[in-house]
Amino acid sequence: MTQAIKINNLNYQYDDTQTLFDDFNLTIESGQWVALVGHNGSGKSTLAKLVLGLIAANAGEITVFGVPLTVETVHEIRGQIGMVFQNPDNQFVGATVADDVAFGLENQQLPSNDMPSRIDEALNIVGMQAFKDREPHTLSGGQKQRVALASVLALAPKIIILDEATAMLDPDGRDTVMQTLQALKARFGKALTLITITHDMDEATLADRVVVINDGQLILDGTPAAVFSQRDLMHDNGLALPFAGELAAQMQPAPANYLDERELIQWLSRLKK
Amino acid sequence: MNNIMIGRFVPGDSFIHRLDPRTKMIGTFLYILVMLWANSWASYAWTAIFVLGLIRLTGQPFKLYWDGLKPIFWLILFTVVLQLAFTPGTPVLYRLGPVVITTPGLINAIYVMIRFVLIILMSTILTLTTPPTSIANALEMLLGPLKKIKVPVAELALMLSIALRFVPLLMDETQKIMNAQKSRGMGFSTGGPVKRAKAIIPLLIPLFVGALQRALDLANAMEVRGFRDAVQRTKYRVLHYEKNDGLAFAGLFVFVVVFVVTKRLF
Amino acid sequence: MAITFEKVNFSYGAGTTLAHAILHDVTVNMPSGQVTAIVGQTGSGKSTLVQHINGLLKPTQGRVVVDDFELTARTKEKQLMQLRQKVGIVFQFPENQLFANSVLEDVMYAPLNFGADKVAAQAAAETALRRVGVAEALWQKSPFELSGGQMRRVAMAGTLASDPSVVVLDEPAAGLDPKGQAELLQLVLELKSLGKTVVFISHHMDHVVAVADQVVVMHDGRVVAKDTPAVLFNRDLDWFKKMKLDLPKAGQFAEKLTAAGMKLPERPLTLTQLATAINTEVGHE
Ligand SMILES: Nc1ncnc2c1ncn2[C@@H]1O[C@H](COP(=O)(O)OP(=O)(O)OP(=O)(O)O)[C@@H](O)[C@H]1O
Ligand SMILES: Nc1ncnc2c1ncn2[C@@H]1O[C@H](COP(=O)(O)OP(=O)(O)OP(=O)(O)O)[C@@H](O)[C@H]1O
Ligand SMILES: [Mg+2]
Ligand SMILES: [Mg+2]
Repeated sequence: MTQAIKINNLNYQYDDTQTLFDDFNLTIESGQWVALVGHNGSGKSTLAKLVLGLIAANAGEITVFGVPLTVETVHEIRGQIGMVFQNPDNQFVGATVADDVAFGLENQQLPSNDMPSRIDEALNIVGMQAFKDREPHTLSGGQKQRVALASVLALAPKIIILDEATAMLDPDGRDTVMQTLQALKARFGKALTLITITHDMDEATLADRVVVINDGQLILDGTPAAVFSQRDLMHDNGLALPFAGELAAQMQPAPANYLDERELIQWLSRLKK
Repeated sequence: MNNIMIGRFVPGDSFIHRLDPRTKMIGTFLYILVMLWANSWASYAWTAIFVLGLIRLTGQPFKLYWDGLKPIFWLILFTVVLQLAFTPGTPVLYRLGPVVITTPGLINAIYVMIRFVLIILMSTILTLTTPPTSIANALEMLLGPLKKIKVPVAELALMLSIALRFVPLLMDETQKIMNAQKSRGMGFSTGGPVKRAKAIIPLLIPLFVGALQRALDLANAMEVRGFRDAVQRTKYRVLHYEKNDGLAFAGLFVFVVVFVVTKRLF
Repeated sequence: MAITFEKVNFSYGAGTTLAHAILHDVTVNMPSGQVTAIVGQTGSGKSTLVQHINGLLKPTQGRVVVDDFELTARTKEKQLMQLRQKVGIVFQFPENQLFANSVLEDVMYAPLNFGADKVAAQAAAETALRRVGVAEALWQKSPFELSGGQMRRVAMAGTLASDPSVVVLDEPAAGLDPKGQAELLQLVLELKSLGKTVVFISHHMDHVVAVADQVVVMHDGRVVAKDTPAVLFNRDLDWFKKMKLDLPKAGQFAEKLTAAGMKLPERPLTLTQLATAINTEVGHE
């Protein structure tokens, strides 16, 4: 498997404050869906910014698909990574949905004639083609984030990072965004590496792998099942388990190992018989 | 925030919507220039009829334009009152101490009001039917020659389009911060000017911090999507003149001719 | 302090061409000393409703009574000070209200505005900061140097410092980590135990169940239900679909269990209820 992102001995601190990342290591395989979780202020957003070269590490190495991140390669690397931010309002550049999707294409200097089809395709994937001429502020939060996702998809990135993209949304908006992500994963499969930063552990269970960080330290790393079997450690780090995990812990007798929601329901209905 | 119509674009497919933004900008500019020459009832009537006709052509309800006028109602009123009160002449219609209202004053006041309203209506037609990006694009192309003397036209145009987009957001934000501070007891401060000025700090600082945060976020979002500078980019909305634009310029020509004629005759 | 809405209608831009009716004939009361949750889909009018409680918005028709204060379309701005002293509102993402040079100074803003002297205001601010769990070491820091979670707490203290009898929280948990959310719910219960009337807007039904004595459901600017959580969440599933509301996670889980052939005697609302019900169900065999 190729490595989409490889972080080696990363060190970083914001100006005068204490060190945030101290010899931090993380490798993300190409095609994985990784959920990055950690309490408020644990450094998740900082990590994403470091990978994108929006801020520069004090020491250490970040490579993206084998290319080390440097001043020379930063634009090439950004061309492979798309990012959706938490606040849907602060990431719109265009005055209409179509203009916004076009923004990245314009930067890539795509010929004007090729743009409409690329824009339509991207909007189609997230199910927003009907809103092409709408102004961003007339959209609901969930719709805005789907447009933000389309703007990123139009650039055909190999990696997409979502930094708490659902945090400001109501349950409906959250559902549509998560469904869109699952559809993306189904459509692009191994060609797309997905990193979702979230506080919602039920969202994190959708990923192939969960990475828990705290104050710039890697606390846990593994499949959702492996990570969520560490209930105490999760609680100690200000986090919780997905609902099914918290429930299983209250069962008497409790299941021997971690079960996700579907497995827990199966397990319970078998017990009953 | 919803009643601020200035700078607001309403999508549509009317004749005016489909015009090239450059045509619309030149047209608006020309119209305002010509209109400032008006000096008789007839010439004002003609300029007004022309604008009303254009409004019809945009296919948008008149109410939208009316709402565009409301925010500057006080400004208009202020100018009108100034004209009314300080234009000398005869005959005198009304006298109250130093304030003298004269017939020329009254006529002047009405003219000034009409001018104001027509300028606003005309610019509203432009912004209502043209996406901000297109306005910025058009501006960039129209000002293109200035690039030769090192004016960063492309950057300015992009800044303008982003600024236009942020206006409603900032209005919204101001309202939210006002609500939060009012809930904490802000308001009705009495006292001298210094004390009053101090009282708006709780509004200004959060607004400033919030705007800065937004700007930083937006800068990140732009960079991540491959933005380097405003020059090396292609354009999604390509501008090209069409038959309609020819038609529009012809219309504009007719407008000017009729205007000159009315001005001469009446 | 009880809050009563009587036949309240509200339009943004009332009296203009853009008038846009949002609240329709809202009659509801929120009893003194209890926690009333308000839920409903996006745009249903929850925020608009609660902004009437401290007079940020005035009813276009009808009246709102808070304790002995009556708010109508004709209430004068000057009188509202009196109301705002009684009612504190914490808005969504309240950290964007911070402005002062130090945390303490920021939290003192409300008590000073409501007429406390410096000493009293400082005492009130310190109490509020302790209540929301902001460590003393941070009190002299600039509020802009804090982490997101700390800023949220300081902003909440900024509202609680004037010791309002009614506390309104408009989606206060967004963006907080699980521990922060749990602490927030704890704070709500603490406010209630201090005798305050709490109004709590949330999209999280688990949070609602954890703190609310009653739940008001809004839909298209109308109050369509008001019940205790136990009664409300036992309604028909179709109704929740229509209102675009979720069940609490325990209830959702129970529905899935039913589909898998394990029916619980009644719909559980909390994790504990669900766990107990399952344990007895399984234990009986
Ligand atoms: N621009 C900045 N200047 C100084 N310190 C900062 C800055 N941005 C973040 N920090 C600090 O760095 C730490 C990590 O912040 P970061 O935003 O990466 O956390 P996070 O895990 O994304 O948290 P959240 O879940 O709240 O989004 C925090 O202690 C924060 O206060
Ligand atoms: N200042 C305003 N001017 C005009 N319309 C507004 C204003 N604020 C809100 N509205 C409209 O009023 C309706 C109700 O909005 P409100 O914010 O009360 O809903 P809400 O239930 O709080 O939604 P959410 O869950 O998204 O916070 C919406 O249709 C909204 O667009
Ligand atoms: Mg973050
Ligand atoms: Mg709201």
